[in-house]
Amino acid sequence: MKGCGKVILFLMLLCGLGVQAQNTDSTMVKLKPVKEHKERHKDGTRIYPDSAIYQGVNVKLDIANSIIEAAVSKGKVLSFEAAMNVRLKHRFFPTLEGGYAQAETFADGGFQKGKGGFFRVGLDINPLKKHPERLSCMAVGVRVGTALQDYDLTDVVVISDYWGVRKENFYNQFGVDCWGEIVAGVQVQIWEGLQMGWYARMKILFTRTAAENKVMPYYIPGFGYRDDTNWGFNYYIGYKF
Amino acid sequence: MLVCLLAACQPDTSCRQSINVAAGVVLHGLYVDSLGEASEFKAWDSVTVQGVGSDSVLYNNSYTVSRMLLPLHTDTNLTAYSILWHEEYDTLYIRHTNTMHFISMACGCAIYHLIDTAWVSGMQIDSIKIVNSAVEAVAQDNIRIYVKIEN
Repeated sequence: MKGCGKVILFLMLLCGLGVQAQNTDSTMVKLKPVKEHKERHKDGTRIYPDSAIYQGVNVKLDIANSIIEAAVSKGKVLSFEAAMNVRLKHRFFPTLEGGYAQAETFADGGFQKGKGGFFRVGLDINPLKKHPERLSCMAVGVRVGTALQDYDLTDVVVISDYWGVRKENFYNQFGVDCWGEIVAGVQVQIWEGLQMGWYARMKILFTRTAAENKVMPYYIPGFGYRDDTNWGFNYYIGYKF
Repeated sequence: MLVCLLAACQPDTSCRQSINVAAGVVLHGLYVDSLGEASEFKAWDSVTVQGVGSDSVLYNNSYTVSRMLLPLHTDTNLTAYSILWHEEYDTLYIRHTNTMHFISMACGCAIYHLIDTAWVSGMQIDSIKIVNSAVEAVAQDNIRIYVKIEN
């Protein structure tokens, strides 16, 4: 009996170890690590699911155009502009741009002093291959712009070679101008959400003819000096949210 | 460097257009000789034209002038020109309205006109007719002068 008891006890111990082993295996299966969901890119910026339409918004401030206009006008034109665009499917970028300018300009036919604001709306398209983790892109697009300004025109020459040239003044004028643009540029991610980029613009003025007994401003905020077409260049610093 | 390059691109502030707003006056003349034969002529010979109230002569003993371009006043509604032809004076009066037309900041404004009425005083010009009342920057016939000379 004592021998049987020892055998039975030994067998019970063996069964217990077996059960313990099985329990351990099932625990190990349960503890198998689950693949973690990535919420951010390697550089810390947020990852949106590739299937999502909305991919973020960029806010940018222009630094080049302000410097160029001040340099060309020798400080007589001061302007600034900012822009915002939304990233859709890594391909489309609806854009809103706006700014303000004040100018004292002159030409042979008169002198203008004015100030006003402008805004442009448009759409950019990234023609490069989409890559969810690369926020740098190229942009080709169109804009429609409108400028509103208050201005004075003084010493405006009234042409009359035979009867004698005289000059007229026009105070407290209000001007509205519209134009279209074709733009191309690059947007590069520098560090985390910080971005820099540039745009080149070809502008086509729509409002070219003054109404009877009306004058038109020489400088248009957001467009530049009045002409049928004009060129522009912007260099932006921005951030992606 | 780009900023310096663009800074060198100053806007053009000089007027590059030639803008001449003037009323076109043409002549329809009829010459009848002693035999009663008539022939037309449409050019002034040896004509002198001066604006009334101006010191400068617009046409000084000019020959073969087929169309005279007479600028109108920009700040009044009546313009008069003295026409000396064949040693006799006639005066052409033009009543008109003025409309300002903005060209550009480089060129300034031009005044376009709308001729209301026109008449002459003198002995040589028989009659006149307004053929186009709009006086703009494009050279065109606005007033036709009829003269009959009998020998």
